[in-house]
Amino acid sequence: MRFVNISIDMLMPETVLQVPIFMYEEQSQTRKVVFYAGYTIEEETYEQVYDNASKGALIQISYDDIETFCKDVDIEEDEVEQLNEFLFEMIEKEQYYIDSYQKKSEENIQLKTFFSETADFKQLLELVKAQVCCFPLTISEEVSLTVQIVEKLFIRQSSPIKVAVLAYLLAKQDKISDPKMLSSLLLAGLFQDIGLTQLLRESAINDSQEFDDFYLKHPMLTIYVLSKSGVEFSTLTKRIILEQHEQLNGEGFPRGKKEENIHYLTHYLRAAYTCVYLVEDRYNTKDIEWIKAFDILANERAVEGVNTIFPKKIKDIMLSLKS
Amino acid sequence: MSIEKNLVFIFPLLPVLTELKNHFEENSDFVIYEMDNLVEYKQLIGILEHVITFSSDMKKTSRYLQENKQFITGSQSLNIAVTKTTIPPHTFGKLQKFGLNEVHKDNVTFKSLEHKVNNFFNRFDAKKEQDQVEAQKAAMSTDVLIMNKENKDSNVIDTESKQRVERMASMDEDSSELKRKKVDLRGLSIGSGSGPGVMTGKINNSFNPAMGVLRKKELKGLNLPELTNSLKKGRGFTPVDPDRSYKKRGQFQAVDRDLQRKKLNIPDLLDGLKNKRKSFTPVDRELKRKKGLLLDPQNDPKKRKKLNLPDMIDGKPKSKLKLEEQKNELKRKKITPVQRELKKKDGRLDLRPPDQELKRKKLREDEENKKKKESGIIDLPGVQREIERKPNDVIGKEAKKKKGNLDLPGVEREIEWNKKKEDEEQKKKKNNKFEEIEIERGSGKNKSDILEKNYNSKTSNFTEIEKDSSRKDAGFEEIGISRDGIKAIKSDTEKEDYEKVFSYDKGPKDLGEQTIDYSSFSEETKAGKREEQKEKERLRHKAIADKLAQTPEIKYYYPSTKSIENLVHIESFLINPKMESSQYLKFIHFMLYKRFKALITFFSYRSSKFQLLYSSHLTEDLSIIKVEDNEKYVEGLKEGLKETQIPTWSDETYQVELNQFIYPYFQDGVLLGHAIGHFPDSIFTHEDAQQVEMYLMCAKSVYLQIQKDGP
Repeated sequence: MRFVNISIDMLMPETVLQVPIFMYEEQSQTRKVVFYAGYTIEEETYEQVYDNASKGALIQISYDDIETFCKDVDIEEDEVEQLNEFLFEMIEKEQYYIDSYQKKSEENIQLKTFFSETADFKQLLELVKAQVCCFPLTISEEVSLTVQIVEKLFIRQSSPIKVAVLAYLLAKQDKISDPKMLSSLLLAGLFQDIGLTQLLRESAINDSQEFDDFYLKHPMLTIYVLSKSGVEFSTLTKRIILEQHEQLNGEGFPRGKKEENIHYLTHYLRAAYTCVYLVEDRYNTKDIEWIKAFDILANERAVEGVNTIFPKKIKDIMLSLKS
Repeated sequence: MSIEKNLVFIFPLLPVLTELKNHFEENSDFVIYEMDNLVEYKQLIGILEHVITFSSDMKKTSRYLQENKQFITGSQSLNIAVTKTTIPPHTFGKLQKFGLNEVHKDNVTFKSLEHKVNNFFNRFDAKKEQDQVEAQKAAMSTDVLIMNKENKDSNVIDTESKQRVERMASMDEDSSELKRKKVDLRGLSIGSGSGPGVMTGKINNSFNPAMGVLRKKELKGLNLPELTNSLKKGRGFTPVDPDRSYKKRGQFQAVDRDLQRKKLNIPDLLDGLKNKRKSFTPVDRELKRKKGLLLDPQNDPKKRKKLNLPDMIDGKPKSKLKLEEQKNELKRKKITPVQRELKKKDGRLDLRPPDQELKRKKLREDEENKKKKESGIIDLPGVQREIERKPNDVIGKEAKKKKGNLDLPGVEREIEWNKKKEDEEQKKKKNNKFEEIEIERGSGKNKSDILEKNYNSKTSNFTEIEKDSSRKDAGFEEIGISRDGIKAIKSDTEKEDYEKVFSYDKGPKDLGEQTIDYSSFSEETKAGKREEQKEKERLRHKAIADKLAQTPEIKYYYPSTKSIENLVHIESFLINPKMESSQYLKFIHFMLYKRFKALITFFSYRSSKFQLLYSSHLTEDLSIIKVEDNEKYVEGLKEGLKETQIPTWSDETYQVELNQFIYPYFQDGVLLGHAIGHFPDSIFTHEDAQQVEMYLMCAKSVYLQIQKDGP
């Protein structure tokens, strides 16, 4: 149920309205009915409400009552719309996203057949974009931010975007559907390596510590660069970024975390970028296709410079994709 | 003659509407109105009969809809908005209430709009044509009637009018002069019709007392007291309050328009009069009913042939007989109200055979009983029926009891009771029959009427009232209408239409005005029942409101991305080995230029020398810095750079028009180089400054590589 703000000046004492009037206090996050429908607005109560409104309490009506209320108090609906400009804009935006993407988001792509046959990443991009754009804009700032970023970015197939998409799909395969978690995973996937900009370019290109000692600190550098962006990221997103190179056996970096200490979403990201880097030849492993990459991860096959130890869950998903 | 096709375009228009306007401007059948001002629209819309209004501006749309709701909500006008943005559903709902019919996005094709326009007007064209044909038929038969009556009274035969009658009888439509005369004659002698045009004629005449007198005299002269009565009744010849009768029929708009036309001297009165003829039929029918079939062309086989009238059997046309057969068939298939009741009560499927079959069954049973009686077996039909009616487990016991007792007087009572019940059922059926005929008649209206009925409930009310008023003199019209109805269901699409109307007529009935029992009302008020009810209602609302208050606040989030998505591009550029360092730096400049209109130059510092890596100062117009020689200026930038060891803004308060930013690159205390940026009135806050810093930071990778490998 949505509520819209009205001005206390729109109400008049000693009148009867056909809709209930609510008062919402943001600090305590409480709402109560101050004037019931069909009852006279008493002078005394009106004065009290007026005082509270002047102190910052919000006077509200139900979104569905706008028309009746406006008729009751003889004002144009535009006046209420002006007071709730952001809300109406958001409702419009949400509707736009639903209109544009809902149909596409309901499409079903079988990843197994997709990777074995077409493997045209554009299809996956469009699917993930449609699904993310249908996330409600009322969950959290980060979810709304992800919706915007994904809508703008998911038109090209760069490496970070592929990593984010694959991580998202792997998580979805594991029946993770919480928009907050999926958003964190997507953002972490997109910005995970921005810290490489503070390292020798050679090291960034090869994704290796061979050229730069600071390479092991690049997850922290990523957080540092992002801190300058002016955008607030959630703790989960930052944690996934920081833990992206941690390994189950504690041989990862920068902190050498082990098993349970690593957030389970991190494994999806790690599995995703390992697959993408294998296919894109960033580990100098030539002619590796998607199915082979999944096979390497599923069966813990040894590849030089690549850690292939993953939790069973991830291995099972990989196995299902490759077979 | 086709109807006037009006298209109104309210400016500003989207390209697709402009195209549509230009297209119809070339077509002489359409009248195009271009409206800038909504006041003009208000003046215009009242006098337009069939009109489609196009608009693009939503504010204007909302305004014109609200201001002219009374004129544009009918079925004779269509309001279409074509917008750039998607309208939220609540806004559309609101506008729909005011009369907006359709909203399209600007990607709607020109052809679909054109099709909508043609479709809308074609409907009225078709209706008008059909009405004209009907009116001609009606006028013709009444004229024949009048002429014959005059002959009887005066025995003077006017040869000219004889010819006229003959010509009319042969459906000579070309004689326009004759038509006009016909109209005049009718205007003086007999009023007409039930359509909106007729109504206006009636009103106009009733406002003219002389006309009223003339009309009465004429009617008296014709010695048609019944006719005049029927006219008074059926046509509402009461000059007392014409508006009232109009409102009742929901036709006040037509009066309004015609009055306005009169004021505006629009010369279509003649057309209007022609239209009025279309609803002559009730009078015609009344006459036939009152005066018998003496003058009916149906009785004259020659005339019948000429007029293409149907063959008669026992005073009824063949087609009617066929229709009645079909109706009976339908009725037989239908479930009786009693069965419906039983279904409701039992809440399960009624699998008993339909009424007719029950009768047959009963007959069969009777025959069997007779046979049994003859053969000495006593069977009890009442008990049998009881068995049929009751559930299986009860049936056995009770039937056994009754059969076992052999209480004959009781059985007789049962039989009587059954007979009574059957009689009642038959009575009910008779009533139903009437209703069903009404349904059939409804379905028999011409196709455009059917569509209009669905289109606008107001119009449908009107036709229903009309139906009721003409119920008494039904007879003849039933046939024609029903015949059309049967015709209409031949093709699939027509069948759909037919079913629509059928279901519509079956739907909730218009109860009309309900009489309030004031005595009970006052009693209830005295007893405080009404107050109680009100209080109950209020309490209910109160409870709902309290529950609503408990629902958590829904908050929308839509933070600015602050162009953070560009970092992903930077990242993918960085890890791409094909991308050269200068290209990477150029890309960073491009990001800053896009967001802050910045000019950036990158210098590396190696072996105590500054070297230029990339400079937009060399290629861009430096008029904002008031510099003419770009190269000299870039050279000059190197001076004093070494002293800048921390990121520095020339104005930390971000007030100046052109702010300069110097960003030094260090690694382990070793200076790698500098980036210098100029920002023309684009940095306002620390957040902006931080973002600039973030983008420039991303160039460090290149500086490190240059330090290692050389430029």
